[in-house]
Amino acid sequence: MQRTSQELMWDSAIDSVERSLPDLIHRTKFGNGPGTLRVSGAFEVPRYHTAADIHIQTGAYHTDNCSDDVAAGAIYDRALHVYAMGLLGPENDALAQLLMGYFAQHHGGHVPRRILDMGCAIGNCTVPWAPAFPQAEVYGIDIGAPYVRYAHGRAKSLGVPVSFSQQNAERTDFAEASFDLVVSHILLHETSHSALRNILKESYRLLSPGGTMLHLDIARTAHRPPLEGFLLEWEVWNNNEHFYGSLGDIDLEKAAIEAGFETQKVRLDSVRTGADGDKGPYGSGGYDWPILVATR
Amino acid sequence: MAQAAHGVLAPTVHDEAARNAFVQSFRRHLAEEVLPGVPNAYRTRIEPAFVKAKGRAPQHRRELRPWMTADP
Ligand SMILES: C[S@@+](CC[C@H](N)C(=O)[O-])C[C@H]1O[C@@H](n2cnc3c(N)ncnc32)[C@H](O)[C@@H]1O
Repeated sequence: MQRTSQELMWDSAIDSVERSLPDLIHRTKFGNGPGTLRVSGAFEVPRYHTAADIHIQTGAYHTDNCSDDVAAGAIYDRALHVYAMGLLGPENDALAQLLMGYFAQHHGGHVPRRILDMGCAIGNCTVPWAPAFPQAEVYGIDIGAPYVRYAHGRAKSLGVPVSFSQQNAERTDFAEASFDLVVSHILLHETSHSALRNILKESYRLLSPGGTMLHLDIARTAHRPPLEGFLLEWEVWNNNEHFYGSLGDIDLEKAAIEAGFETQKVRLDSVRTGADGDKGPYGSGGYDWPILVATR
Repeated sequence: MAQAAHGVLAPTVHDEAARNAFVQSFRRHLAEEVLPGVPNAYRTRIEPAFVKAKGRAPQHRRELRPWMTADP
């Protein structure tokens, strides 16, 4: 039933996108608004993404079926909202609200000037960082070209300045020490053992001294209130999300230390929904999302 | 909670919006009414059956998987 609901979810999103695709492409490309977009012509998508259709979204995130394709992004926007039962909020950004709340609470004295969101997809969790830190430059990267194109169009239409680019978070083209805040929202579980290590190393390389990384992902706990249980079971039953189960077995703190961070500057923390910065009904259950935190 | 409109959100016709709303509430039903039964099924059926067959409690989620999926 769960898998069926997953397939139904894509179907209902796909129809609306297919019908309006040329118009959506036009609007994302020519719509007015701030921000920039950089998509690479010759991009190599990592194998852990080409080997299976993650989320059973056919063609996954990275496939371009026509020039300037944004279909995968447009579908994701609709489907994510259905998938999360609307609990991620009207802008699909509840996880960013949660992480921003965590940052304000624990690093409130620090005002970031350059923020990078890794695995940004359609920028749903990238966009809210910009108005929260109006003096900061905000960047979003993802391996999916249709995703970052759509993200750019979406952010323009919302009037929020973000620089999106198609890049692998394992090795970006940004300069060393060029960010003081690196974040991700449910990226890690979609990678692999080696990619996870590379992403942590890359986070370390990109951070300036005193800069912080915050990687938020899905918990693997015995206590499973409805939403978390739901997300969790879905990941497990949908066996295309291969790395998910293994992530819970990895010692993330150790991995961060191996990536270069000093032991006393790494911690595996968690943020409780229902805390400050959280939105609406989603917080009512009150459960923990793990965050891998490290300061360079 | 309805999704907020923005300039590039794919427009839905009536049937698609209805289908989205249905799938969303169907998933909520699964999450709130059906899935909470899983731990119960585990405690009352799966774990006892596992212990009976192997003489010990399950240790890893992987060895549990065939038992979980065999249970309706
Ligand atoms: C579950 S989505 C999360 C999207 C978004 N952050 C959110 O909160 O809804 C994970 C995203 O990570 C991207 N991704 C996976 N591996 C990546 C990598 N090595 N580099 C950049 N992005 C990656 C995928 O394409 C996908 O869009």
